[in-house]
Amino acid sequence: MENHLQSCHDLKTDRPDIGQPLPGILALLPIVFVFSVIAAIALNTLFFFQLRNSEQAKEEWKLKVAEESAKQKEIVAMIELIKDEERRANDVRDWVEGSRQMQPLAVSIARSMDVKSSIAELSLLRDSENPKQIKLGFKFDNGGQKQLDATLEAVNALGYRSYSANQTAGKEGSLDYQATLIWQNSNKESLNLTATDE
Amino acid sequence: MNNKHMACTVLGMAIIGMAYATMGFHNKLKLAKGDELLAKTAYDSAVFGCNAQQRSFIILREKTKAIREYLAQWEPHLKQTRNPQFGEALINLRIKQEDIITLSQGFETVEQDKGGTIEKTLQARLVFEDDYIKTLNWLANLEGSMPAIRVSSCRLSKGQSGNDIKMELTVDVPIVEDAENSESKT
Repeated sequence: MENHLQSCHDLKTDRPDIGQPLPGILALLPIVFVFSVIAAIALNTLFFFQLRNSEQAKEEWKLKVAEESAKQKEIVAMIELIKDEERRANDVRDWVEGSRQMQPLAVSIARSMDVKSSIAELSLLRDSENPKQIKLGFKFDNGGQKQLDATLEAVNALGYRSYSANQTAGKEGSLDYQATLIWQNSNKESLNLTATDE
Repeated sequence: MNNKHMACTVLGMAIIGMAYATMGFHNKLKLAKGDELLAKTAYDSAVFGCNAQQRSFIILREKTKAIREYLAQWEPHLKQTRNPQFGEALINLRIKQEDIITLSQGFETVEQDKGGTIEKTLQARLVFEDDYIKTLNWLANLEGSMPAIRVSSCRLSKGQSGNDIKMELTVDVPIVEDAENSESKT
């Protein structure tokens, strides 16, 4: 048996190589492969951690953006609140400025009357369009122009200025007077109001 | 192709594959960095916007301080009469307290300014005839105790006897309902 095998082997002749031999440089390929594996693992690990950090940072920024937006909304709401308060304040100021007390005006006109003079009728009407203006109308007996000057001085002392004045003199010093009163700052120097305003 | 060729091809492909995968991962990282930068930019602009709003809020608050204080002072007086019935009762109380002779009185609710602060008013038409001092003092007390009221018209004429005067008044009482009350009604 052993002899038979030996004879078969002897029949096999040497054969030339089929393909070209590989270039010598390719001997480095396994080394390059090993380095590639190590580099790929190292780089991908690094990238993985960087990616994770980046995503975390992105989420944090988004969270902060949401916080800032919420804060901004809160501020906008407060601004709206202040604007609304300002609007209401302006409405109230308009109302209050058109609601100055009338009693002092009536009393000062009544007190300005001389002993000999007397008021027949006194009317104080606020203008419906502009309540800051008061339409003053009064009739008095006796006194004439002198009495009217005294009355207007009393009105002036309260801080009112008259315009569009109209007066009609009657018999025996009676007088019918109409004017529109405008409130002026009481700190201002009072103007001399006379019937000659017209 | 012998085994060595095959091995080289496989190794080469493996190296290329690894390089490709690494580049892909790197691109993903670049995209993520870009997103992070975008988010940071969005945060910066949000902070800028917020600071701008904060600044305008402070400016507005300081600018309107005086008028808001004015409102704070007047609001209690305006809310003195929460509804027309209450306003009517208050005026009647003042009349009873002073025991002034009333010739006539009428009350009416008037729409004032839809959507405004004072949406409606109670308009009281009152006619008195009594002593001159008593009548004018009553008016002073009314205007003093209810500072928000508006005397729209006041006509004074001689009364029937001695020192009496006839006073015809039109008084507007602002009706300002509390926001809480309005909400509970709705």
